[in-house]
Amino acid sequence: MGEVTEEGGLFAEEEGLQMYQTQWDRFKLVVRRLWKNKAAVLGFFVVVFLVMFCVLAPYIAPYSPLKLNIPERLQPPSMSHLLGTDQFGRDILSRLLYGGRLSLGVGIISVVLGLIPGVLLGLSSGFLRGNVDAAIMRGVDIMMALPSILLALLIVTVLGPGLINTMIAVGIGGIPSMIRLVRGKVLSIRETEYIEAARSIGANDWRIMIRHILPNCAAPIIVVATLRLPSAIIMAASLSFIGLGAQAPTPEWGAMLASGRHFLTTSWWICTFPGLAIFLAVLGLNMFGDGLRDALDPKLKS
Amino acid sequence: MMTMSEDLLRIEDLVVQYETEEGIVQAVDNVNLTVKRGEVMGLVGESGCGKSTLALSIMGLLARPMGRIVSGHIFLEDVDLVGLSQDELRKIRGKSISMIFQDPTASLNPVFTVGEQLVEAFKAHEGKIDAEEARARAVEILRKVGISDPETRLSQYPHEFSGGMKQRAMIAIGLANNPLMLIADEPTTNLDVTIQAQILELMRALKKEFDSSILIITHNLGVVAELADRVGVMYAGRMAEVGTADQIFHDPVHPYTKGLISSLPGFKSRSDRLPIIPGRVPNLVRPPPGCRFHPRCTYASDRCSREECKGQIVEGRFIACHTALRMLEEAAGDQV
Amino acid sequence: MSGKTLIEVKGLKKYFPVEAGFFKRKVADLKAVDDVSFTINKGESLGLVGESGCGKTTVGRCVLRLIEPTEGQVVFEGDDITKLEKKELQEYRSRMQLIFQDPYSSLNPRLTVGDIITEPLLIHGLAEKKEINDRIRRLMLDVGLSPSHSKRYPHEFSGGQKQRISIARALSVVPSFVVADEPVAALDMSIRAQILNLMKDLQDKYDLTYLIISHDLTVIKHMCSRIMVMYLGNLVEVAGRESLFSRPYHPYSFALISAVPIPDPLIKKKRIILTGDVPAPINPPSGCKFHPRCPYAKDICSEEAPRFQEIERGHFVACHFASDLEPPEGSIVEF
Repeated sequence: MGEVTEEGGLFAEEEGLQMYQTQWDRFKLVVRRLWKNKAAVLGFFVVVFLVMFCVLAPYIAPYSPLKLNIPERLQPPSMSHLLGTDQFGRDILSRLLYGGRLSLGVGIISVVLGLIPGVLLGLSSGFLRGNVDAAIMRGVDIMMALPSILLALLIVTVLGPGLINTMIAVGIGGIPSMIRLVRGKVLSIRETEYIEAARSIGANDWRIMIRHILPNCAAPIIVVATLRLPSAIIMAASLSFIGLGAQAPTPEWGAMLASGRHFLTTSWWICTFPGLAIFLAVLGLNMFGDGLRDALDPKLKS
Repeated sequence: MMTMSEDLLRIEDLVVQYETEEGIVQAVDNVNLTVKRGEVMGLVGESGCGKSTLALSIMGLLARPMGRIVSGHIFLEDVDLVGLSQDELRKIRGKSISMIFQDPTASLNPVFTVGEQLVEAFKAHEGKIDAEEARARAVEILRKVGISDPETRLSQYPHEFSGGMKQRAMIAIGLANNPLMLIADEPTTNLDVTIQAQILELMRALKKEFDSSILIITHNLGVVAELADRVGVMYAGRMAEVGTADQIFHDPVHPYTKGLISSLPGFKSRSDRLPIIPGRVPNLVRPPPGCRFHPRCTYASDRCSREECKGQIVEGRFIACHTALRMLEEAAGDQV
Repeated sequence: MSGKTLIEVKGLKKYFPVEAGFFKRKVADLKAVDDVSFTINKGESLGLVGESGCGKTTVGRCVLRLIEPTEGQVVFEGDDITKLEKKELQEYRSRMQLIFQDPYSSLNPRLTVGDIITEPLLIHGLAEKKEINDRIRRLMLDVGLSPSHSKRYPHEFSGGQKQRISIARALSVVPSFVVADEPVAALDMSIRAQILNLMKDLQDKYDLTYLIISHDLTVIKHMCSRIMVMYLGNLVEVAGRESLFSRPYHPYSFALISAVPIPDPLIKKKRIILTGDVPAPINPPSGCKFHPRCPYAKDICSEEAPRFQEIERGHFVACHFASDLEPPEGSIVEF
């Protein structure tokens, strides 16, 4: 069994076993909850497949995405071109695969770009309060007064078109909502007893913010970041669609939509497939993100 | 000639389970309990012992679908509450049995006045009721629970009441329809000690005035000693011991009861270091085999780790402990 | 027991401004602590008892300067710490610690037990990295936990064990003074005894001085040699344990002691029931704050606040009629 101390605290391996959750078990619990949510599972696999295909693009794309082939232009889907060709004879499938790397990549990078300043500003705002908080929140209010697409447009107009500036613009667009989210969580955490305990043992503000508050915000940050991905992808695609993002001949999905829109009625495949790809990516991420939020919510019982 | 039996409530072999993410919890495991008419039965135990689950089961208020009564009977005056439909249970709730809870702030609806909530209690069981008459009854019952100036208080909202008054209001609602039985789940735990004293006095007075039986559930042994005629001690979902208050406090037999009573701080003849029960309450998803208390029990024998003691009634007391029963037998044998 | 003064609190006041209206103007003060003075002797366990709203938690926090006093002085081991800057206060933080009431919320759920316990050491630079593991081991054994669990997280432990972790954290810096705010209120009965015994053992081992704050008189009576009774921001009675329980002088103390339910069904006492509710510290009554509920109140009680006087050796009370009053017959049962 185990030793009994003088105080009678019974401790033993059995006791440890009786408490059923190590960190690994918690992770497994989240996974189990996710697994029960069929929509989330579906979304997850859809996204995984898309990402896999795009990552493997150099190996599985049958043609070069940029190579012009005028004689074979506007071919409907066939054995040689599974998804058809566009007005320049370029293979849609190959462009889709390579383009995915850009569309998905831009989405991920912009979210990450927005994450770091968003989290830091949110932490400072929520924890330090006072003037710092007031200043940051006014900034957030101003930014949120603009529709995010307009904000992105503004930034890209100032910085100039191109994929990198698109990432910056979309990334910045996500900062205000992240600040608000983190700040809200920080406000509730800072009143807990363990923060007071941290103060009582002599921890300074910085230590409390990074070591005590931040790890406890992790869950909602992950969820929001995951749910922001689909909007980031759409925004990047939209910017490309109106010509401010990826420039021709870059095979970004939004750009593909743009270049194919004249042929919508005649050669439907040029627009449909990129559109479908965007749709699947966004839908998959949304379903997975929703499931993730539910799975991470400690209050929800199955 | 007594046509009504003395037993108001008879719980027989009740098994209640909860489904949790970690597995199935046997929250109440083959519990037997009777409450006589007009008596105050105290149900004590620590967290996780199943006492609240037992109360909720009686009321049919288990959180579905996670919690459910697996088997057993709850006879209220010969009607088995287990297996009744929700509609039938609703007719009983608030009329034959009422329940008051630990936190009156959470149980009183903040958007209705206290008077409205009282009248609703009347209406729920009597259908149409004359407004004037309802008001008069409401005033009367508020007065009975010691709320001063009841006419004014009727039209006030719960947040205008203090903690002690809210609890009184809850008791009023509970007693509104003169129930056969009132279940009080930790009625004074959230209250300051001087307010707790008020409420205990109130309950003692009400005990005389209303005929209701009271099932009082608490972890506070002092409260139980004050109010209860008989006491049931639960541990990890099972009933360890049932006896009169005198028996339980002065001559406890089950090792858990003994340990509990001797470990209370601050009372006479407590030495500097309190006697303790080593270890802690078991995880109910994977309870210890045999007697659930045996890992912590100084009297545990080999049998205790293999075989649960189903319990026997000895001289009017229910005892579920192999060792205790054996010792009683030997003592009785010695006397022969 | 040296009887040396460890802490002196003089004229402590803590007022919280109450704001109302669109411009958030201050309309009143919530006088949580309203002129409290006391000393704590080295090695003793001083109890601070009172009901909700009496200000006892605020007193504990003020003594540690986790809340800034509005007025008054706190002298710790001879040094006035009331007005120190953060940096200077830092050094004192390692000498005075707090054990929190709620074991479920006083431990950071994202840190391992080992990290939680040794964080104070790292902050104050009191241990080398290589010593840390050894310290974890020794601390956990001291509080009755298995060192093999040091990499686990708080939620894996029971309430009683969490409280042990909390205690270990406080002890890691070997403080001279520990404030325990309702140390067992959130725990099951059978665990309370374990934790109280642990606190006593640790007091012996580490030569600690305790300020134990609780609303539970039974806990206070068991743990404390000297007890302060607080009501609505003021101390109403201070006495040694035997003295207080055998012969209290303040009417509130009568009621408080009388109210404790005794786990013995044969003992019937004629309990003193106070009328009215425990008031909130906004707009407290004039004069003696207890007078609206006091069965012995006279005119003077609403006009003038009573002074704290020594009515017996070491026994202080704040009541105009202290020497004339006695607890009613049968209301106080020795428990």
